[in-house]
Amino acid sequence: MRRKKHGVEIVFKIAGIGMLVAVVCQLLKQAGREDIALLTALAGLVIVISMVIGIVSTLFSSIRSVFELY
Amino acid sequence: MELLSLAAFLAASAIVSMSLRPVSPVFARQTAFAAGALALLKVIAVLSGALDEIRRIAELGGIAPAAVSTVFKAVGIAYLTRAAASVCRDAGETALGETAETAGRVLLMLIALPIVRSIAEAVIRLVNSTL
Repeated sequence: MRRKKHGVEIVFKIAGIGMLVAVVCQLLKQAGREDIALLTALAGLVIVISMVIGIVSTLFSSIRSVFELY
Repeated sequence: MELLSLAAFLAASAIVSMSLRPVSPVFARQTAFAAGALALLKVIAVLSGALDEIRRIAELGGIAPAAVSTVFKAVGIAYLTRAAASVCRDAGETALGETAETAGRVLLMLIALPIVRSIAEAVIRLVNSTL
């Protein structure tokens, strides 16, 4: 079983990505590039979701191994 | 004692999530999910040591290991379904959360059935032996 070590800083990383994406989206919208703004938001969301899914999968596999659920 | 710093961590992530919400609500939710999953991971890591101790105590009392492991399984299913249901409810999907809880209840019943069966068999054997 793959057991990756997740630190506390991943939460603040996610928040930082969120702020960055929001700012870039606003800038692109002001510049009139709505399509690229949408793509940026989508890319940020995909990156963050892949991080969150990694944590959740670690949590579920650790609960399964601790409580002997197979 | 390491769980005490968890409270500070959760409060800090709540503040981060709250201040991120007006900027981008989706990322605020993701932050909250990640913080919750991380905190639960730490709690489970501490809990696993306690569970080993409980298993040793149960061995001392001569309780069958299968019964103890059934109880642990039930607790694990309860934690998993609770986590899934609360994530669903946080995301605004109450119906999905209820469905996750129903699935957990059915699974718990399935796991408890062998114990109920063994109790019933013991009672029947007792009644038959006294008659």
